[in-house]
Amino acid sequence: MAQPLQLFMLEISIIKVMTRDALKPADFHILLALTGGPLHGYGLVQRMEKESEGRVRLLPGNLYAMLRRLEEGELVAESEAPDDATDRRRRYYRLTEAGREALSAETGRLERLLGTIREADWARGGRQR
Amino acid sequence: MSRPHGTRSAVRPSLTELFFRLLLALYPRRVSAGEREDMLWLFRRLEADAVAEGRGVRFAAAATLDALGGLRRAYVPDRSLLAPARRAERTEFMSTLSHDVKVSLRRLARRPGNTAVAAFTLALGVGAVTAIFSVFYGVLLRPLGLTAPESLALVTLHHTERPSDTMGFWPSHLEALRDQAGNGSGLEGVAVYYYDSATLEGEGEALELDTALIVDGDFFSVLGPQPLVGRGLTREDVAFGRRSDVCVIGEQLWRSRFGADPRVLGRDLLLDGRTVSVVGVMPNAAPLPVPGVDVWIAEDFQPQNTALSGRLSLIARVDAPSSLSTAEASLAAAVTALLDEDPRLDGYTAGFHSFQDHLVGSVRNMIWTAAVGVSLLLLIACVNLASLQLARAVTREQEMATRRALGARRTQVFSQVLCESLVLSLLGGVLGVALAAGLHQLLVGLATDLLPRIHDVKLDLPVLGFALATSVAAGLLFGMLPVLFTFTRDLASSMRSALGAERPAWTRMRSAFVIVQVAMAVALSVGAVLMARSLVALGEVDPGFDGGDVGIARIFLDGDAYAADQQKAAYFDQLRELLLARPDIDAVGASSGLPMDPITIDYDVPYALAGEDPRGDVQRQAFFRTVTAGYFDAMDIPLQRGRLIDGSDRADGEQVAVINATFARRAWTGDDPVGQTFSFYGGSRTVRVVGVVGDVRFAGPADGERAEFFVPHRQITYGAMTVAARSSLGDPESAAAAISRAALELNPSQPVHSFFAMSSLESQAVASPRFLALLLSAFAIVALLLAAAGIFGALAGWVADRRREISLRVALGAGGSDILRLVFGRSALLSAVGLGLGLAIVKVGAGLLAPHLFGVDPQDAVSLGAVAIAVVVVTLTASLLPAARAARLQPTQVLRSE
Repeated sequence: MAQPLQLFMLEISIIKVMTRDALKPADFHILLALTGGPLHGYGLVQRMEKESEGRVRLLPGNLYAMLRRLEEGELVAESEAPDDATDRRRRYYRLTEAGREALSAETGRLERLLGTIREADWARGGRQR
Repeated sequence: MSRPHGTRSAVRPSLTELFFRLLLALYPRRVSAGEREDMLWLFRRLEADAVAEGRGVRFAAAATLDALGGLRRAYVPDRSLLAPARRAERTEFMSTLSHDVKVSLRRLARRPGNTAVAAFTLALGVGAVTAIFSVFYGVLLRPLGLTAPESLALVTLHHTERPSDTMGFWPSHLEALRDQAGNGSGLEGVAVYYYDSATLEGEGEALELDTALIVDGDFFSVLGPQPLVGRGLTREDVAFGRRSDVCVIGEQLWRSRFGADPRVLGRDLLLDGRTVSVVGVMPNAAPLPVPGVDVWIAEDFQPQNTALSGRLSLIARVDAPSSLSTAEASLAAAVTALLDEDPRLDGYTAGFHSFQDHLVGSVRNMIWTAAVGVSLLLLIACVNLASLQLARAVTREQEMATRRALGARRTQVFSQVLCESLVLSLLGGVLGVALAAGLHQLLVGLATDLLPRIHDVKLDLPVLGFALATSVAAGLLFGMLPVLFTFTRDLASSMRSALGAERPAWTRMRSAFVIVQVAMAVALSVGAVLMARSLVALGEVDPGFDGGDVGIARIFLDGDAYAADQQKAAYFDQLRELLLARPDIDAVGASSGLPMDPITIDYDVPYALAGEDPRGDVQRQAFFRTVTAGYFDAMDIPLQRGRLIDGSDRADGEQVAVINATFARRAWTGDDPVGQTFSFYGGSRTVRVVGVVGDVRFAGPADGERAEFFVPHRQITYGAMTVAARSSLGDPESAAAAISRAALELNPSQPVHSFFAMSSLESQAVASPRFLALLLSAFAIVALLLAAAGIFGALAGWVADRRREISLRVALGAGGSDILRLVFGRSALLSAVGLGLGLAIVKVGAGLLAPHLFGVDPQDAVSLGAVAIAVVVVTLTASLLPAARAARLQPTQVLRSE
């Protein structure tokens, strides 16, 4: 009796912590970039640059460090090259199920945050959804 | 790094790229080569893009920073993404642990009596075992501090037919063996040494150094001991055929004479009138072949130095421990080759003995006996602990069952119990170490003269580690055993028994504990009783002399001042007269070898009767002593026939000898030995027997018969003698002091080496059995006490379990005596089974104790009977209280409370 309850409390606390702690913007952008399918390093950089309108521009050292970390956290995984791949020799990365969840949780969090900000009525200049 | 595929052909890499590639090479190995290749490829593409877009400089700056950041993150992974989950895990674990520890302490404190008894029981076991282990480790296990001691061998020359007949080596052997070293003989090097004494003069009074070790130039390099200060002696220190002008002194002399001053190096000492300077100090603990060496001097042993024939002890270093037999064979060959030169070597062969065995061999068995004894004690303590924990587990079963019924997992309950046991173990361990520290002091004090390497017996890290491991292992294993037992029970029966149903399983388990405890206590007690009886038997042995009132002093005459035999003989004659003039001295005499003296000269010589060929294959051997007039009176050795050696025996008179009873019986069975003649020293000396004296136990009370003969000191003169003086006042110490004063009066520059009461030699002769008897007795007493506590606890629990049954019996008309019989019957049954098991252990373990026993059989019925009675008395005493409690039970109260 006590045990399942404890476990439940533990899960709640983890969820709380996870929702409280936002994903880092760079992580978010990597995950976002991968929603369109597997990409290699160069593809990722180009995609992120495009999606962020040139504001996110990662270089190899940090990019691969982040990829390693996300891989360890099982949010991304190494992947087969897609059929239309131009560079089959390169490593491709794809989004995992957990990565997809983390992304949608982060999206939700951003949405709620945005909602709060809009309600507060002090950010009128915010972009319309 | 291989050339990346699919890049534009760069004419030459940029400076940034070179930097990037350098850092890539520094990445940890877990970043795969493929990944590095990808990174470089990406770098090139981005660089190309940047250059094409005209922002090459900005890229170079950003990429340099990025490369450094990437390298850092490759080594220090940033786990921020995973951090929340991990942090939660860790806090959870930490809080459980600290929670468990807190709960454990609270629980232990709630039952202070139980906790104290459990911790103390454990401490007793751990303390005793640690103290004995410190000896075990220090003497038998601790590295010797020599270079590869396992490759060192002590070499002896022994007779092929009479193994106890041993000889030392010749200087000519040394040369032959040195030539053999290397060359596939298995020998790597040899070192020789012999004992001498030396007089240290200058700066204060002259000091007779008991043991000066004269060694060859290779001695220190072959053995490789570490000096405390300075260096050892080397071949360069000796000139052809001479002794070195430098010496190494022992730590003891360094401390007593030089106040442990490190500036002693280079100081000149006046040793036997020769100036030598100190180059090093050897620690007391240095595992050199002999302990307590005061000074080491090197000498160049030349083959023509015949004075040392047969006097050298030899240590060999072999290539590897496995090549001992090869080395033995080649040494045997070398010895045979030397036979032609010296006929005295006929029939002798070389034997190799492990150096480690030589150092500790004599006490190995004794230490093992003590270790087995103390292990039994530890086992009893552990069983007691288990019994105590079982009692707690019974009372806690309800709590556990309830917790489990409420959903606590087994692992949770388990971790709580584990934690509690651990806390208890550590408590017991700390107390045990404190106890061990005290016991260790006691042991070292008791065994200082008994054990080799006593300086290596310390309570240090390995020993403390052992104590910790023992207490944790014992605490966990035996503390948790009962609790683990509850885990095998299903919840329903746990609940049932917790609600007061009978617990036959508990009872059986506690009974088993009691039986084991009684058995161990029996084994230890039998050992103790046997040792004590053996000690008594040793004390009852008539040594053949009466040393009670005798004081003794060792005098080693200065070889230069007393060069001639007449001078030496005159010295001891004058000393005797000086002492006899005193009213408090009854009798005085001196001998080259005093019974029970560990540093006496004691060797046997072959002899031939009249009509036998003294140079032929002589089978007769007798121990040789030279004594002055008055010696037998001083030692109170009885005359059986003829006369004693007295003042009428002159150097130029008839050559005579006094023999002992064993000599007489062996040589002239039935005939009167007085007036017979025999010869020794290869026939060079023939003596006529003038008297027969009683046998003495020369090497101690356990020594067997020895044939001995005594010649007048005036006829065969030694410079090193031990003087014995019998006090008329029953005060041996003052008699010994009187010898020393008389010697100073006679010649102030001839010091007396040491003087003490003869009784101290006699007590030293039984030091080893006394030590074991003392240890085993202490173990046995503690074991019996622990067993009594175990029986008490088990019976009390048994009575408590059977309250209902007993009450019913009383209600149905059973009297108090019936109830008493029930309880005592139970205790008698348990102790009887324990006794039987204990005696079986004794039967198996008798072999271990047998070498230490004297005059008592390991299966001695009286000893076994005495132990059986003691065990019965102890168990019955321990049963008294539980039995009385059972007899006082009021049926109405019990039945009401249930």
